[in-house]
Amino acid sequence: MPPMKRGANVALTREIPSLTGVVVGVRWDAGREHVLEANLVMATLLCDRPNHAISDDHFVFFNQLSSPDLSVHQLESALAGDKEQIEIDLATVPAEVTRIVIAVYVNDGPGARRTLGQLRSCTVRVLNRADHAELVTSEDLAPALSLETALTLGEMYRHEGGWKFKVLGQGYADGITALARDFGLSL
Amino acid sequence: MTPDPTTARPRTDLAFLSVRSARALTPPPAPAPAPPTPTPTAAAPAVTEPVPRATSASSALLDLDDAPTAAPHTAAPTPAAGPAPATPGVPASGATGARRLDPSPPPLRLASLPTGGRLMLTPAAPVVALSRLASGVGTLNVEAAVTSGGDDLVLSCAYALASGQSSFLNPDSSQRTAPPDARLPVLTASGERSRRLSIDLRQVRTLSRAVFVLHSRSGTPVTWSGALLISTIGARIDVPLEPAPASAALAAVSLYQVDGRLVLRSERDPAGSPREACASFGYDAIAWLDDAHVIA
Repeated sequence: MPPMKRGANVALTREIPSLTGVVVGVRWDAGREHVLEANLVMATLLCDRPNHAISDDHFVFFNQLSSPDLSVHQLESALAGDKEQIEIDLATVPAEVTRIVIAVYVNDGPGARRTLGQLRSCTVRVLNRADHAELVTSEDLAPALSLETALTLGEMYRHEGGWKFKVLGQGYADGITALARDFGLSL
Repeated sequence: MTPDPTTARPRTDLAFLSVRSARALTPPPAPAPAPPTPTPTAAAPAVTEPVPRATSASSALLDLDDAPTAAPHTAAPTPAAGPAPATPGVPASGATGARRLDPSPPPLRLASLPTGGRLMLTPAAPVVALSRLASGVGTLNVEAAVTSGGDDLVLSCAYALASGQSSFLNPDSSQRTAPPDARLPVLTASGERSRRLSIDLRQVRTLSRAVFVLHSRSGTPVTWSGALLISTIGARIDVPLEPAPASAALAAVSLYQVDGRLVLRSERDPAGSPREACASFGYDAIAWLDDAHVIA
């Protein structure tokens, strides 16, 4: 299957009715930018409507590895070449969760500021949790980035009783602060 | 009179569980008399029955730390709420209910920072806990806004990492980051006159605890006035120093990382030197060069 472009979507559970869980993996290449590499953070937001995370507890990242209902959790060690991975148990995602947005941001630490524009490549892909077969992958989202420090990569969302995946690729120049504000989170 | 468990309010989410687990704050006498009532071995299933009933009558008595008690209770509302615990279609209630035995750790039961808020730590309310989100995003800055002592004052910090390593960061030395050999420092000193320390929250899990110490370079006792200003991306915490007695050093604020959450406590403990201040907080594995500097 060719890489999905920004805005493209696929009906995962319609294509694979037996799909019970997925692994969403993110790959990036920061080249020799070691500080950027160390400060890149993957985050997953469980939303009850577009651009609205249910609560701060529904922001899954390295410091909060699971959603309260345990349906979404981030793996401490990503496999198969991904930098970070989250696992979604589709059957146990609460009904109130209608969208699961996957994002990446640069943590604004004490050192020099880095941007996502320094990435050589950045893709998101979806695997079947049962056999780790790759279902879809996105196009390289890095070339369109410049001064952004946060980026929504893709989202899983409910559609007609099933789940679809969409590639987003929306950047935020104000980083995690803007992303959090956009999704109603309090930092 | 005990309500019917099938009509009792179901436990449907973790937040609800957390609220009920606040039982520990209630006086212990209430739960104590409850256990002896049923006969121990007479009828095992019968013993499990009364528990939920008592719970629904008074949620504060529910012992949620006990997995066996929690399991039947979470399962109970499912049949009452939905027609059948069948299979794929209705997973949200049934399946999540079954997995609630591994929730987040119990709440810290400390004051939390209000959303986008500003808070002052006072002697009456000296502690605040940040959420995991606020504890893991951006930088936590600690800045001394102190009018006493003039240029003689320094803000320093004793720290212990999750690895067990501990040391003391005195910005008034050649070493202005910690740990000393780290490629990406957890702690960084900056600002004019060595009065700002920053914690890289991307590495919050590597930090176990810290205590921020104000001290005079000359060792002269200082009458403290001003505050420590602690800020993250979206919040600010002010820690006034005023009630502290005059001293050459002051352990102003302690910080603990509790399962990803940062807990800050206003201390205002006077000491004769930074070394003494750190020792009083249990930092006893630091190789000191003198009372204010460590061996590099």
